[in-house]
Formats: sequence, C-alpha cells, structure tokens
Amino acid sequence: MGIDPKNLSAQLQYQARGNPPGAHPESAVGNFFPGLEFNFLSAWRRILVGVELNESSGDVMAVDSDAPPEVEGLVGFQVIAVDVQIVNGEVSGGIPIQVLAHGPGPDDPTKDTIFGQIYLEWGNALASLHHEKGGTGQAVVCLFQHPDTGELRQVPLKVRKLFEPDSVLISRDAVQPGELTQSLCSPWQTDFIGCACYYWAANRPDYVNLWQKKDGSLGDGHNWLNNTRETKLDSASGEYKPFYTLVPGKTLEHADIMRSEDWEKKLRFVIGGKDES
Amino acid sequence: MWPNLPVLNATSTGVQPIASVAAADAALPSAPLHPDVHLFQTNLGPHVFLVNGSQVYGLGESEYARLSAAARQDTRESVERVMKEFGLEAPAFVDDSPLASPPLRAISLAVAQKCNLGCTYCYAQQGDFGGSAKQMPEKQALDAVEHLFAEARAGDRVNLAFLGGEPLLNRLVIRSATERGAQLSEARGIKVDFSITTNGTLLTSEDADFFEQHGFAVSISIDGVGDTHDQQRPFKGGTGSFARIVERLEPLLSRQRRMQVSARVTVTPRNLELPRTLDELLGLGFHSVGFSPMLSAPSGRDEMNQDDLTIMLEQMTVCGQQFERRIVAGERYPFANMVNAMKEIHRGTHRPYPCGAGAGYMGVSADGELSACHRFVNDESGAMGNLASGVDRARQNNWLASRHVHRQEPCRSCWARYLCGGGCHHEVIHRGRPACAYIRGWLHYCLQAYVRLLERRPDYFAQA
Repeated sequence: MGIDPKNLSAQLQYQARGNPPGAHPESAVGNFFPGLEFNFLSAWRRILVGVELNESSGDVMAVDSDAPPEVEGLVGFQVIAVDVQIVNGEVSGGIPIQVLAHGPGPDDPTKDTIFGQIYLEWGNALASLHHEKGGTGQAVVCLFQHPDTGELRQVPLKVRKLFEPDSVLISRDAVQPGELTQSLCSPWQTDFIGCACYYWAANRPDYVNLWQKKDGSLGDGHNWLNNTRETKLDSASGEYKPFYTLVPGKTLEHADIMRSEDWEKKLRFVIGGKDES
Repeated sequence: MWPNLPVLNATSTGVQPIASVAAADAALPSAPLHPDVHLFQTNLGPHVFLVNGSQVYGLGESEYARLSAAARQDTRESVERVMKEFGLEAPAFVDDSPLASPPLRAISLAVAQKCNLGCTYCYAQQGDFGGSAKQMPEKQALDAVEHLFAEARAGDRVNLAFLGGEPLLNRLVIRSATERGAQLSEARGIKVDFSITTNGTLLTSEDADFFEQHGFAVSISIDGVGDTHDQQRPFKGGTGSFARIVERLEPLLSRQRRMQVSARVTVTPRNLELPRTLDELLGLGFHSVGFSPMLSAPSGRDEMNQDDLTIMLEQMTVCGQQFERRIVAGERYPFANMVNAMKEIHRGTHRPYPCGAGAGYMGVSADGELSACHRFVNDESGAMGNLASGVDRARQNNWLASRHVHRQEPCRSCWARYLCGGGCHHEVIHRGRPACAYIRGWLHYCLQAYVRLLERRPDYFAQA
C-alpha cells in the first residue's frame, strides 16, 4: 500500500500492516533477552507438506494451492496422530498429537481423574519423526478428525525438513516472513508447558513458596498462578504447607492476567521465591 | 538575480490585487479543504499532512485519489473512514482541555520603557507604551529573577530575556539581573538561558564581552541594509540608524561563539525585497536572519495588507528555494523562518497555542506588573497580575481557556491550526487575523520543501 510515513510523528504513529508490536525494535521483548520475540513453535506449522497447521491446536488452517483433493478437504480438521498404521482397516500405532490426560487426582490420589484433552508439545512429540522422515520424500499416514462432527480421515503426507540442508537455519519453505514473530516465546504467552528450550522445565519458575521436608529433600510449592494459596497438612512435620495445583478454578486464567484491569491485584509479588507478606 | 525555479504553489510573481480575498484563498492549493487533512503535491509524488499529530505521509496515486475525494465531501466521517482503512487513524493528540496553571519558566524584563529610536510600527509606541518613560529599578529586576528561579527545581531550565523599549538604556540592571541569574543557576542546578532584543545602536565592546561570557541570544532589530532600514527605523530626530548599528555590531559579530547574534527583520510594505535583505544581512555576519510581517502597529503605520502579504509570501518562497539549494549543496544557510519550519515539521510539532505567552512565559513591566508577554506591557487585555502578589491564576486560566486554538475562528477548522497555533495573541487581539492565507501559503511551501529536502539530504534532519 502506498503509505510512507515521512516525519518523526508519522513514523512513531504509523503501524505498518504485518508487523505486530511485539516485533517492533522499540517494543520487542527481545530487548529484554534476544530470542524471546520469536516463537519457534511457528516453525512446526508446515511440518506436513501440503498443509498449514495451527501449531497449538493442530487445526488445518490452509492447504497449498496445488494440493490434491483429499488434502484440500482437510481445512477445518485437526491432526490427532501421525505415522499411524492401517491394519485390516483399523488404525493403530503412530504418534499421538492429542492425548487424554488422566491420572491420580489432587483430592483423591487413588482415583483415576480425567483432566481433559491436551495437545502435546510438538518439539517432543514429533522430534523423532522429523529426524527420521523429514525431507526424505517418504509419506506417512496422518489421522485427522473434525472437531464438530467427529469424522475421521486418513491422508498420507510427506514430512518436511524444517532446516535448510546441512544447516540449522530454519527452512524458508517452512516459515513465511513475519511468522516467527507473530507470537512470542511460549512462557511470554503464559504457555509454560510449551517452552521448547526447556528453560521453563529446567528452572520451573512457576513454583513459588517452596519448602523443604525435615529430611532436607524438596517438599512442594505453590503454582504461581494459584489464586487461593491453599495449604495441606504435611504429616511428617505436622504443619500445613503449600502444594502445587493445576486444577482450573484454583488457578488464574488467561483472561485474569491478560484482560482484567486489576491483574496487578491478582498477581502477587514474589521476592526471594516467597510471596510478599 | 535568482535562477528561474518554478514556484510550486499557485501564487506567482506580479499578482494583481484581487477583490475577493476569500475567493482567491479558496483557489489556492494551500486553502483549507478539510479540517483533518491537508493534501499537497510534490515532484516526489502526492503527500498528505495529517493535522492530528502533524504527520506527513507520502501517498500512492490511488491512495491520494481516495483521500482527496473523501476530503471534498462535507463530513468528517468520509475522511475518518478512509484514514481507518489506511491504518492512519489515531486518538486526538490535542483535545479541548486548556493548559491550567502552568509553571513559569521564562520572563522578559522591560528594563527600559523608553527608546532612542522612533520606529514607525513599534508595539511599545516608540518605547514608553503610551505612558511615562521609565526604567525598571534594580530591586524590581532582582525580585523578578528570584521569582523565576523560585518556581523552578534542579534540572529545570529557565529563560531570562531583556526587552523594552530599548533595554540597553538600563545597562546596569541588565548586568546585575544577569549576574544574579547566573549565581542562582549555579547554586540551584537550574539551567538558565539569557536573551536580549535590542535596536543595536547603543552596543559597546564591553556588552559584547558580557553577552559572550553569559552565552546570550542577542536579537538585533534590523530591517534591511541602508535606506531600507533607515526609512522605518530612524532615531527620534529622524536620521537613519543603520550606519551606527553596523559600527556598534562589529565586536558582537566577531566575538560570537557562545553568544548568537541574530537579525530580526520586521517586514512592512516598504521593505519587501526579502532575498536581498536576507543575503545582505547574512553577509554582515549574523548567526541567522528571520522575517516577521508587521501586522499590528499602535500607530497603524506600515501594517501589511493582503496584497503586501501576497508579495511577502512570494519573496519568502524565493528565500526558501535558495535555502533548499544551499542545503542540498551541503552549505549552511540560516534563514531562520525556514530552519524553524523544517525542524518543526520534521518533529511533527503540534500545539494548541502559538507560543508560551501567558503560560510558561510572562512579561514584567518596569513597575513589576505581569503580562502575557512583552507586548502587553500597560495593556489590560494581557494583564496577568503582578510580581508582588504573583501570577493571577484566575486571569491566567481564563486566558489559556479562551485562547486555545479550538476556541478560535476561523482556526478551529484550518489545517494549519496546530502549526500556527492561532497567531500572535497581541496581533490577533488588536488587529484580527489578516495573515491566514500567508501563513497557510508559507506552511504549504514548507511542507513541500521538507519532502524534497528529506529525500535529498536526510542527514540535515538527523539532529532534529
């Protein structure tokens, strides 16, 4: 578009289409630490040749203009597993993209509690697939499901190599200009589980109010997003101690932090690993 | 004398007087078409000046056509819609709320309400403002300086100016007020800038040293060279003052380093040959030269009318074109009006007042009365209280509310309103607004020149 900001007030005011504020030099979080303004997850969008996926949900957002009909029809479906085998018309094996999360519940550890469908982080789930099949031209059968109708489809797709040959440069085919900065490094979007460099996993900065057991081993701590800061009885010490929970309703939601006007009241200052008193 | 360069706005040289000013104005490319945008052409393509925020954008031909069509409609919404589509919408930078009780940061002391010259158009009526000739007592001046510094804190910047009448008729007070100011500045960490406006006839070599030592901005009121100056700025007896001024200026012009000695030319119907005056005065060694049209004289003499202003605009444009040539050539050409215009356009200066008068700047009379600026001494319409009891806040806030450009006609719908600010308060109150077409014509030319210079010499703007 023919719009050219010339003087300083125009340059400051003008927001050119296509560059999100997070990528502007003056406001990028990369000023705080280089790299935080990129979301490497965006590179996974085109892991399957012919389709463009949403890297967080597995939705098929678009297909290539020269895609065959069975691929064209995938828009609106979600990939739920890749590299599956079809044996006697039955689907088995393969790598799941979504799993049903279940396990011991926080209230009754003896009961199997269902926490819901979660999307696996692809840096883990698809790494071996990428390593073995990326760029080889070999197709793998991928399983898609429509979120509304439940209809399943199997479509063979090749796996893209996400890097340029003999390089760690991200492939130009995988990522379009501007895509890597359309969202931020995961924790900066409050997605702490998606942290692909393991900073979050290694440091677990989401734990606050840590305490030690009497024998010196690590006790537990609060999830920093926990809005109730409840404690439970620790039988060894006889004291009530913080415990970590992910249970919805006990933790702040995205809207609480990003959209409410009193987020500063909801988030507490943590100094030296402990809540301000 | 100057190579034939095309004048890029419609006014051309030798224009005949036109009966209907409004009609003539409306036909000009600088005419106000829409309150929110001003469109202009350049040899680098069409551009738009967005009034909100004083933003300058280059446009493609189709964008220009769309915005142009929208601007020709009667509603503001038509332009708003197109701006939104282009991603150009922005919240208003200037709203209706006036400045309220701003802190005082600059004062001018009318140290002498008398003068040895009898300039035809003088706002001070040849020095005494229509009252008895008087000097500002030293104590009054020192009180004023204390007052200025009392309102400021470490790290702030203040300005102390000496005017009149002819300030050098009270040299003693200038010296001691300046020294007090320098002392207070040092002691309190408040930066102070000194300035003086003088007719130049009484300057001495010691003045040169004093002004240089304190880094004064010295403004010499000088209307041209030789007769051009003499015919409107004679001594009270009638003889010309030019020769004396040149003689007395020599030590200042040669010693200026921290000090800057500039020429301020008042333009009347009798000294309209501006390019010649500009070069002659620059040739004398002035740090810069600026022109100001005489719009409101207490005597009514030598005021500019529409035809004169039309000629002045042509002349200023010729000076501007010379400025462009010289800047492109990498040379310095301190045509002050243009230097300021380039700076302000580049920054996107936008403000609802023409200056700081009555806000952060006040004039102090010899008797210690405060007024909106140096021109309002003994003038009730700009009275602001007195030093003894301080700024009259009620008067000040009323002034600031009523003089906001959103409350002025025809300013509130003019595209130039945040660059012009509504025009000099004193001129507007006493004469009205005869110069709108001139101001718009000048700013229109400056916008075009800015675009050209930004392209050819972006390094010129690097400091802004």
